Amino acid sequence: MIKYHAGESFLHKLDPRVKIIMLLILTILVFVTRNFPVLGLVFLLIMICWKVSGISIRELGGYLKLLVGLVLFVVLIQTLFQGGETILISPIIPDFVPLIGGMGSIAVEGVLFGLLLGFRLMVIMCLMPLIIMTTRVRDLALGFVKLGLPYRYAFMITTALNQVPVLQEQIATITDAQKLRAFTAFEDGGTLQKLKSYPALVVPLVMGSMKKSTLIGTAMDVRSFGSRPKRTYLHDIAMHGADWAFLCFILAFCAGMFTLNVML
Amino acid sequence: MREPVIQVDHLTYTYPNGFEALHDVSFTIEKNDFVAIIGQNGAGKSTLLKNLVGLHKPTQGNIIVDGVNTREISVARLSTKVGFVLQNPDRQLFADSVEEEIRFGPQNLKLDKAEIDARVEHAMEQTGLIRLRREFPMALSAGDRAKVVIASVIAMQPEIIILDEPTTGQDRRGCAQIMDIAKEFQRRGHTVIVVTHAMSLVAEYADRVIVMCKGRRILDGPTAEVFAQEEKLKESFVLPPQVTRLARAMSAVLPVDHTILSTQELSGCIAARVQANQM
Repeated sequence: MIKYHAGESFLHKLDPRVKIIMLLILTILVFVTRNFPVLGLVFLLIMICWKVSGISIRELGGYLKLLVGLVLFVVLIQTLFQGGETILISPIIPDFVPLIGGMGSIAVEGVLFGLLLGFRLMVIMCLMPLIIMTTRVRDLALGFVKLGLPYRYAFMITTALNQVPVLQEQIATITDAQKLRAFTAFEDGGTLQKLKSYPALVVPLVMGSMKKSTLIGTAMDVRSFGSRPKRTYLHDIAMHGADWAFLCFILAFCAGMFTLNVML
Repeated sequence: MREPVIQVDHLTYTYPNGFEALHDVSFTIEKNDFVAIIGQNGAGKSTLLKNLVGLHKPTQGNIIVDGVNTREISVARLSTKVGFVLQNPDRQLFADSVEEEIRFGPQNLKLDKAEIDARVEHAMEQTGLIRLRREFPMALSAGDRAKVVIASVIAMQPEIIILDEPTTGQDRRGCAQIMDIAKEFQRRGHTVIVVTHAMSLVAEYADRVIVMCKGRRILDGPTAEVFAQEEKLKESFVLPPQVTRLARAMSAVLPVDHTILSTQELSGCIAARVQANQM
């Protein structure tokens, strides 16, 4: 599950601001570049960070499956529909098929573009959980605020993150509740049956969340949330030598990657 | 000897994270019993219920419900034998009307339409929901929402009905209505198991009480006998109903029976004593 995993690693101790900057700058880099070597190096860096964090990437569980599925889907779609000049297969659908026969072609450019998008997606989707799993939600919020984000928005981000495990638990309870009413479509129903059965899961979930968010809002109001523009913090954060050093390393790394991107 | 409907045999349940929530629990529940399961939070009551309805399978030991081992039957199939009323109605209500909500279970059982209609009608009648049949379940009051959930279980016509803290957040009237529905269910020959923290309701409705503490069954017996064992109950932070404690305190000076469970019993006892003195 994607939530904070307590630990003592270098990455855990790193100032949240450095991690947020790393997240932003690497994300920009990944979206700007069309270079496989650059993407590969960024991916390598992220994997080294996972190793350093002491958290196994397997902890991601179902998320990892989703990631692989999504990447394959993107590669497939781009391969089929992107097209290009260097044709590999044309047409995809043989001529003898009525109506749609002779349509579609697969080009080298399309395949490469698909792989690029897939790779980008994979790099980013491996980076985000790393930050979330090594940083306390409280520290993440503080990091955002100290970087200049208004507290309201930081609070929104952290509340959303905090709610993820709660929602997962709720889904489990609702599924159990409906199973107890002899409902089996979630497990062994066909696709159509599954689709038709979604209200039984989604309605209680959405209604429950709406009720809950109203409650949270009231609870915040009665504790005078936002009554003063400037707030103080019980737990503060400070940049130490190691934080500055890692920040410099990340900036230098990214500068190097941007240069490499232009050169290649 | 009545026919056993639930046999729990050396049940131990350990959660995937290694926490042992139930340790070597054994008991039998007979047909047409009204059993209350009590104990402090974390005593293992909810884990026990989840095992009884098949949501959890025993780590060790076996549970036989109506002749079938819960390991060998799906939750959906078992739901025709044991109905489970969840604590929080909001976790299952989703339909546009009360009637549709109650219809959901029988429909999943693939019954024919006439049978479903009859069951829905019967369930609404038993729970007093007829006048609310077209209402949107989630917009109802807490008491009525709880009744919709009970009706949706009754409509599946299980042999046994289990209620998990059905009176949480209910006012006195709501509590009484819910427990009366359960009592009526028992009168029709079914078995009722209820988990609750409301000792006065236990005293009023239950025939038998099982006390859980730290994953073990520490007391089990007829309600009056269980409530008489005050010392043992303290282990599980359970206090007998006020009237039982009063009777016990009075028994030092007046010969009243300290297995008393209701104000009527106590006042009857005192009246008899006073009359005897006057004669």
